[in-house]
Amino acid sequence: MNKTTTLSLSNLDIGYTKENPLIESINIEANQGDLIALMGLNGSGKTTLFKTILGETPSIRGEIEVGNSSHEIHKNISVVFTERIDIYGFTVADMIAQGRAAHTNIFGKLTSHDKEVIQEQLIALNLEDIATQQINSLSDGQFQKVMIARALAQETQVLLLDEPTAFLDVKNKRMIHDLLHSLASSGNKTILVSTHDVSFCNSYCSKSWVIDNKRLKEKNPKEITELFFD
Amino acid sequence: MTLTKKFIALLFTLGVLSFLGIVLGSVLVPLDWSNELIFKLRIPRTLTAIICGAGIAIAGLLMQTIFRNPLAGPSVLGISSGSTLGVAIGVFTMQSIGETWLNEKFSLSILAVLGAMLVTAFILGVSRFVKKSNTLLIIGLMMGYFVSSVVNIFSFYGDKTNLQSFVYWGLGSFNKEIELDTLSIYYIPIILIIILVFFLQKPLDVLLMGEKYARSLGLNVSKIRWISILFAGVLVGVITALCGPIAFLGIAVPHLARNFIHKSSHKWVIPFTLVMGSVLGLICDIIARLPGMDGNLPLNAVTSFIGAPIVVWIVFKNKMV
Repeated sequence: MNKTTTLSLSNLDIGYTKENPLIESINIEANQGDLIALMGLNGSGKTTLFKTILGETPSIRGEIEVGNSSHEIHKNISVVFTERIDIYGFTVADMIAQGRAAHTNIFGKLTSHDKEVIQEQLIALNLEDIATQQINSLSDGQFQKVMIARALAQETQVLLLDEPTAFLDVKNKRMIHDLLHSLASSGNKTILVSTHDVSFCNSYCSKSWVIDNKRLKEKNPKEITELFFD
Repeated sequence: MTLTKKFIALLFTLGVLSFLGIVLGSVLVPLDWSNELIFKLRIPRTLTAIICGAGIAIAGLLMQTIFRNPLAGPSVLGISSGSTLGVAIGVFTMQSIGETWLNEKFSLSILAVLGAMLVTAFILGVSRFVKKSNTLLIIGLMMGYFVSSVVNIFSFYGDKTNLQSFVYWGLGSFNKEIELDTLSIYYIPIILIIILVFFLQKPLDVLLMGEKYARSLGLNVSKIRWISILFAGVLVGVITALCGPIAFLGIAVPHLARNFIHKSSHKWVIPFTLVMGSVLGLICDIIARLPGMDGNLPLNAVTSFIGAPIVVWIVFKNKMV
């Protein structure tokens, strides 16, 4: 791994059977500050790749190196999913505090550092005004923003987002895309976003990883347009 | 009102109700500590209502969190029926077995715990394959009916004397007319588990976000689920063995607690559920005694009378219709 490499996949085969892997021979790296679009048709293995990186699904072969030498995935990778969760009785600040669960003691007691981190995220993502608002009263766009703040409060180097804007309208999509772009460029995070949105990939992302024909390759905007529109 | 003030108000209510629980009943007993009736009957009964009310409410809370379903609870998902089956097997087979291998009540409790855990484990196993919570509830209800039918078969073939005591036990009561020493055998596991549940507050909070997020935060989801099942199963089993199946308190109290404090974090919900469970347990017990009249109403008639409207309110409030 280079100094700035945060995620490295080498000789990796993923899927559920050795005989028929979903993606094979993955050799790819992500660096600090990268905003990467992970693209591929439905069923091509995007979610399985996420699950494998998160350690939920074992890989068939190969190696995954994430962040520092720590084996605790949750201290290196945080994640935001597509679906909105149905949760009652949590304020915006409470939800962001959940991101600290990876660092707090057995009772989940927040230290002064934890509180500082939560406050930082509230300010950074412009959520201060709604900090005490109940999470179930938020719009879908605001909700995803809070979930991203929660993931950032986890203080990991790598952030995985599984189709985070799939259910959002154009305005909210743009707000989330702008946010991800600024987080990657200024925050030195590595952000990997699975998406079907080619314009997001071309306009915002520094890299595009495309799954095609059981292979994961980095491709340029022209190749992507050709692949998905021809 | 701040949360602390709300908690103090609840504790005060609990104190007042405990006093009423001791003095009220078919006979109005003045608070005279030399009166045998107080020590032998009223204090054990009041303590049982406090401890079992709290225990069954905590079992309901654990189940609602691990199933992520507002309608989960010991009586809805057939867990209480599982305990009842355990007790039925014990009551109707022990006589044929002859001398039991352990103290009869103790072995009944173990059977009740096993019955409760068996049904909970079954429901949890099914929940892995069933995505929709409504489907899971229907499976739970059917499981309850199925287990009840097995209980009925046992009752049909069972000894008639045992049947009478079994039916009476099934009506539910906090009034056990048992010495405090014996009662403490039941109290200890309930209190112990309640204390241990406080150590689960962080993982339970994380579980509220769903399994996927919980895993991404490093939580061993299946371990927490199984610990919660074990705790809920022991609580329901021991309480059912002692008081009979108690309907609705387990499902209703956690909702009342959440709505009272407008929070779902277990740091707050656990203590409020505990005290509200005791308060509601005492209220139901006091109503069941019908002050000034002989005899007691079945506890389940009272808990259902109060609990069922609360559950309907939950369904409407969560727009489940």
